[in-house]
Amino acid sequence: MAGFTGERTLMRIFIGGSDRWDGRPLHEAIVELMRREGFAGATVLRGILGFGPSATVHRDAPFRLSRDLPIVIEVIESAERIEAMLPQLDRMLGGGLITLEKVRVIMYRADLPEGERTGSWPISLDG
Amino acid sequence: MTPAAATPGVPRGERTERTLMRVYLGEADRHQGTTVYEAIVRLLRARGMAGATVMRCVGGFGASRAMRSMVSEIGALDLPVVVECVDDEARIRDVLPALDAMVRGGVITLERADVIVYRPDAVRDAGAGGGG
Repeated sequence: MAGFTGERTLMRIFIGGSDRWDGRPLHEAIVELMRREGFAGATVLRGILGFGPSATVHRDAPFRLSRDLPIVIEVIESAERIEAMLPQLDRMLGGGLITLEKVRVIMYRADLPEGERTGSWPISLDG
Repeated sequence: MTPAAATPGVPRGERTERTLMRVYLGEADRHQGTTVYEAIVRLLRARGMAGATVMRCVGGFGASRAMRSMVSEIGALDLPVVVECVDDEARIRDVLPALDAMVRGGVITLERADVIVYRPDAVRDAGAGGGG
Protein backbone atom coordinates (compact mmCIF):
# COMPACT_ATOMS: atom_id res chain seq x y z
CA MET A 1 0.00 0.00 0.00
CA ALA A 2 2.00 2.92 -1.32
CA GLY A 3 1.34 6.37 0.01
CA PHE A 4 0.28 5.18 3.41
CA THR A 5 2.82 7.33 5.18
CA GLY A 6 1.87 10.69 6.67
CA GLU A 7 -0.55 11.77 9.33
CA ARG A 8 -2.91 9.02 10.39
CA THR A 9 -5.12 8.17 13.35
CA LEU A 10 -4.14 5.52 15.87
CA MET A 11 -7.28 3.96 17.29
CA ARG A 12 -7.06 1.74 20.34
CA ILE A 13 -10.05 -0.27 21.52
CA PHE A 14 -10.02 -1.55 25.13
CA ILE A 15 -12.43 -4.43 25.76
CA GLY A 16 -12.65 -7.66 27.76
CA GLY A 17 -11.42 -11.02 26.52
CA SER A 18 -14.79 -12.67 27.20
CA ASP A 19 -16.84 -10.02 25.37
CA ARG A 20 -18.73 -11.58 22.48
CA TRP A 21 -20.44 -10.45 19.32
CA ASP A 22 -22.44 -12.56 16.93
CA GLY A 23 -21.45 -15.80 18.64
CA ARG A 24 -17.69 -15.22 18.66
CA PRO A 25 -15.08 -13.26 20.59
CA LEU A 26 -15.63 -9.53 20.10
CA HIS A 27 -11.96 -8.88 19.33
CA GLU A 28 -12.06 -11.43 16.51
CA ALA A 29 -15.21 -9.87 15.11
CA ILE A 30 -13.62 -6.40 15.19
CA VAL A 31 -10.41 -7.53 13.48
CA GLU A 32 -12.44 -9.39 10.87
CA LEU A 33 -14.51 -6.24 10.25
CA MET A 34 -11.36 -4.15 9.80
CA ARG A 35 -9.91 -6.68 7.39
CA ARG A 36 -13.13 -6.73 5.39
CA GLU A 37 -13.11 -2.94 5.21
CA GLY A 38 -9.59 -3.03 3.76
CA PHE A 39 -7.84 -1.50 6.75
CA ALA A 40 -4.05 -1.36 6.55
CA GLY A 41 -3.54 -3.63 9.57
CA ALA A 42 -4.60 -4.36 13.13
CA THR A 43 -2.88 -5.71 16.21
CA VAL A 44 -4.51 -7.43 19.20
CA LEU A 45 -2.77 -7.31 22.59
CA ARG A 46 -3.78 -9.20 25.70
CA GLY A 47 -3.34 -7.58 29.08
CA ILE A 48 -2.46 -9.41 32.28
CA LEU A 49 -4.40 -7.26 34.74
CA GLY A 50 -6.82 -4.39 34.65
CA PHE A 51 -10.19 -2.94 35.41
CA GLY A 52 -12.67 -1.09 33.29
CA PRO A 53 -16.03 0.65 33.32
CA SER A 54 -17.57 -2.42 34.94
CA ALA A 55 -14.98 -2.07 37.74
CA THR A 56 -14.29 -5.80 37.56
CA VAL A 57 -10.63 -6.52 38.20
CA HIS A 58 -9.35 -8.88 35.56
CA ARG A 59 -6.42 -10.92 36.69
CA ASP A 60 -4.17 -13.49 35.12
CA ALA A 61 -4.15 -16.04 37.91
CA PRO A 62 -1.90 -19.07 37.52
CA PHE A 63 -3.69 -22.40 37.10
CA ARG A 64 -6.95 -20.69 36.34
CA LEU A 65 -8.46 -20.33 32.90
CA SER A 66 -9.11 -16.65 32.84
CA ARG A 67 -10.81 -15.64 29.64
CA ASP A 68 -11.79 -12.15 30.68
CA LEU A 69 -8.44 -10.42 30.65
CA PRO A 70 -8.18 -6.99 29.06
CA ILE A 71 -7.80 -6.92 25.29
CA VAL A 72 -6.48 -3.95 23.31
CA ILE A 73 -6.91 -3.70 19.54
CA GLU A 74 -4.65 -1.18 17.83
CA VAL A 75 -5.18 0.04 14.32
CA ILE A 76 -3.69 2.88 12.27
CA GLU A 77 -5.74 4.29 9.43
CA SER A 78 -6.94 7.55 7.92
CA ALA A 79 -9.19 9.64 10.15
CA GLU A 80 -12.01 9.32 7.60
CA ARG A 81 -11.98 5.52 7.54
CA ILE A 82 -11.83 5.33 11.32
CA GLU A 83 -14.66 7.82 11.73
CA ALA A 84 -16.69 5.80 9.25
CA MET A 85 -16.24 2.66 11.35
CA LEU A 86 -17.25 4.22 14.68
CA PRO A 87 -21.03 3.66 14.26
CA GLN A 88 -20.41 -0.06 13.69
CA LEU A 89 -18.12 -0.27 16.73
CA ASP A 90 -20.76 1.62 18.68
CA ARG A 91 -23.14 -1.26 18.00
CA MET A 92 -20.61 -3.94 18.91
CA LEU A 93 -19.18 -2.65 22.21
CA GLY A 94 -21.20 -3.39 25.32
CA GLY A 95 -18.58 -1.77 27.52
CA GLY A 96 -15.08 -0.49 26.98
CA LEU A 97 -13.05 2.40 25.75
CA ILE A 98 -11.84 3.73 22.41
CA THR A 99 -8.98 6.21 22.17
CA LEU A 100 -8.00 8.21 19.08
CA GLU A 101 -4.61 9.84 18.65
CA LYS A 102 -2.83 11.54 15.78
CA VAL A 103 0.31 9.73 14.67
CA ARG A 104 2.81 10.16 11.86
CA VAL A 105 3.39 6.96 9.92
CA ILE A 106 6.92 6.90 8.55
CA MET A 107 7.12 3.28 7.43
CA TYR A 108 4.59 0.81 6.07
CA ARG A 109 5.88 -2.07 4.02
CA ALA A 110 4.71 -5.59 3.49
CA ASP A 111 7.62 -7.75 2.43
CA LEU A 112 10.48 -5.75 0.99
CA PRO A 113 13.42 -8.05 0.12
CA GLU A 114 16.55 -7.44 2.16
CA GLY A 115 18.55 -6.47 -0.93
CA GLU A 116 16.17 -3.60 -1.62
CA ARG A 117 16.39 -2.14 1.84
CA THR A 118 19.01 0.49 1.18
CA GLY A 119 18.93 2.21 4.54
CA SER A 120 19.04 5.56 2.79
CA TRP A 121 15.67 6.36 4.33
CA PRO A 122 13.96 7.89 1.28
CA ILE A 123 10.98 8.63 3.44
CA SER A 124 9.86 12.16 4.15
CA LEU A 125 9.70 12.76 7.86
CA ASP A 126 7.47 15.75 7.18
CA GLY A 127 4.75 13.38 5.94
CA MET B 1 -24.08 -11.35 21.71
CA THR B 2 -24.58 -8.06 23.42
CA PRO B 3 -26.39 -5.68 21.13
CA ALA B 4 -27.05 -2.32 22.66
CA ALA B 5 -30.62 -1.24 23.18
CA ALA B 6 -29.77 2.22 21.92
CA THR B 7 -31.75 4.59 19.78
CA PRO B 8 -30.78 3.87 16.18
CA GLY B 9 -28.32 6.38 14.83
CA VAL B 10 -27.48 7.80 18.24
CA PRO B 11 -24.01 6.77 19.46
CA ARG B 12 -24.02 5.52 23.04
CA GLY B 13 -20.37 6.34 23.65
CA GLU B 14 -19.35 9.58 25.33
CA ARG B 15 -16.65 11.33 23.33
CA THR B 16 -14.24 13.56 25.21
CA GLU B 17 -10.59 14.59 25.35
CA ARG B 18 -8.61 12.86 28.09
CA THR B 19 -5.07 12.13 29.18
CA LEU B 20 -3.48 8.76 28.50
CA MET B 21 -0.80 7.80 31.00
CA ARG B 22 1.63 4.97 30.34
CA VAL B 23 3.90 3.61 33.07
CA TYR B 24 6.73 1.39 31.85
CA LEU B 25 8.35 -0.78 34.51
CA GLY B 26 9.65 -4.24 35.28
CA GLU B 27 7.23 -7.06 36.02
CA ALA B 28 9.30 -8.16 39.02
CA ASP B 29 9.65 -4.69 40.60
CA ARG B 30 8.18 -4.82 44.08
CA HIS B 31 6.54 -2.33 46.42
CA GLN B 32 5.44 -3.15 49.98
CA GLY B 33 5.10 -6.89 49.48
CA THR B 34 3.45 -6.86 46.07
CA THR B 35 4.47 -6.14 42.50
CA VAL B 36 4.60 -2.46 41.60
CA TYR B 37 2.21 -2.90 38.68
CA GLU B 38 -0.40 -4.53 40.93
CA ALA B 39 0.07 -1.81 43.53
CA ILE B 40 -0.43 0.82 40.83
CA VAL B 41 -3.64 -0.80 39.54
CA ARG B 42 -4.95 -1.01 43.10
CA LEU B 43 -4.09 2.65 43.66
CA LEU B 44 -5.75 3.75 40.40
CA ARG B 45 -8.88 1.82 41.33
CA ALA B 46 -8.92 3.28 44.83
CA ARG B 47 -8.63 6.77 43.35
CA GLY B 48 -11.72 6.11 41.24
CA MET B 49 -10.04 6.10 37.85
CA ALA B 50 -12.16 5.00 34.91
CA GLY B 51 -9.97 2.02 34.11
CA ALA B 52 -6.47 0.62 33.81
CA THR B 53 -4.84 -2.07 31.73
CA VAL B 54 -1.55 -3.88 32.30
CA MET B 55 0.26 -5.42 29.35
CA ARG B 56 3.23 -7.77 29.58
CA CYS B 57 5.78 -7.22 26.86
CA VAL B 58 7.90 -9.91 25.20
CA GLY B 59 11.22 -8.09 25.41
CA GLY B 60 13.00 -4.81 25.90
CA PHE B 61 15.54 -2.89 27.90
CA GLY B 62 15.30 0.10 30.15
CA ALA B 63 17.24 2.52 32.28
CA SER B 64 19.17 -0.32 33.92
CA ARG B 65 20.33 -1.45 30.43
CA ALA B 66 19.63 -5.08 31.34
CA MET B 67 18.14 -6.96 28.41
CA ARG B 68 14.79 -8.60 29.00
CA SER B 69 13.67 -11.34 26.69
CA MET B 70 11.56 -14.46 26.62
CA VAL B 71 14.46 -16.37 25.10
CA SER B 72 16.62 -15.82 28.16
CA GLU B 73 15.62 -17.71 31.28
CA ILE B 74 16.71 -14.91 33.55
CA GLY B 75 15.35 -12.12 31.39
CA ALA B 76 11.97 -13.85 31.09
CA LEU B 77 11.48 -13.57 34.85
CA ASP B 78 11.42 -9.79 34.65
CA LEU B 79 9.79 -8.72 31.42
CA PRO B 80 8.72 -5.14 30.87
CA VAL B 81 5.12 -4.32 31.74
CA VAL B 82 3.13 -1.24 30.75
CA VAL B 83 0.30 0.10 32.90
CA GLU B 84 -2.09 2.28 30.90
CA CYS B 85 -4.73 4.56 32.32
CA VAL B 86 -7.04 7.07 30.66
CA ASP B 87 -8.70 9.76 32.73
CA ASP B 88 -8.86 13.52 32.98
CA GLU B 89 -5.65 15.48 33.30
CA ALA B 90 -6.28 16.68 36.86
CA ARG B 91 -6.89 13.19 38.24
CA ILE B 92 -3.84 11.80 36.52
CA ARG B 93 -1.72 14.64 37.90
CA ASP B 94 -3.09 14.01 41.41
CA VAL B 95 -1.88 10.43 41.33
CA LEU B 96 1.66 11.24 40.15
CA PRO B 97 3.15 11.90 43.62
CA ALA B 98 2.00 8.46 44.77
CA LEU B 99 3.51 6.86 41.67
CA ASP B 100 6.72 8.75 42.31
CA ALA B 101 6.92 6.96 45.66
CA MET B 102 6.28 3.53 44.13
CA VAL B 103 8.30 3.42 40.91
CA ARG B 104 11.93 2.55 41.50
CA GLY B 105 12.92 2.61 37.87
CA GLY B 106 10.82 3.20 34.81
CA VAL B 107 9.22 5.73 32.51
CA ILE B 108 5.91 7.56 32.73
CA THR B 109 4.49 9.21 29.61
CA LEU B 110 1.41 11.43 29.28
CA GLU B 111 -0.48 12.07 26.03
CA ARG B 112 -3.67 13.78 25.01
CA ALA B 113 -6.18 11.47 23.37
CA ASP B 114 -9.74 11.68 22.13
CA VAL B 115 -11.66 8.95 23.89
CA ILE B 116 -15.02 7.30 23.49
CA VAL B 117 -16.21 5.56 26.66
CA TYR B 118 -18.68 2.68 26.56
CA ARG B 119 -20.22 1.88 29.91
CA PRO B 120 -21.48 -1.65 30.36
CA ASP B 121 -25.22 -1.79 29.82
CA ALA B 122 -27.71 -3.00 32.41
CA VAL B 123 -27.71 -6.56 31.10
CA ARG B 124 -23.95 -6.77 31.52
CA ASP B 125 -24.05 -5.34 35.02
CA ALA B 126 -26.43 -8.11 36.03
CA GLY B 127 -24.29 -10.73 34.33
CA ALA B 128 -20.67 -11.68 34.46
CA GLY B 129 -19.38 -8.11 34.23
CA GLY B 130 -17.48 -7.72 31.01
CA GLY B 131 -15.94 -4.79 29.32
CA GLY B 132 -12.58 -3.23 29.06
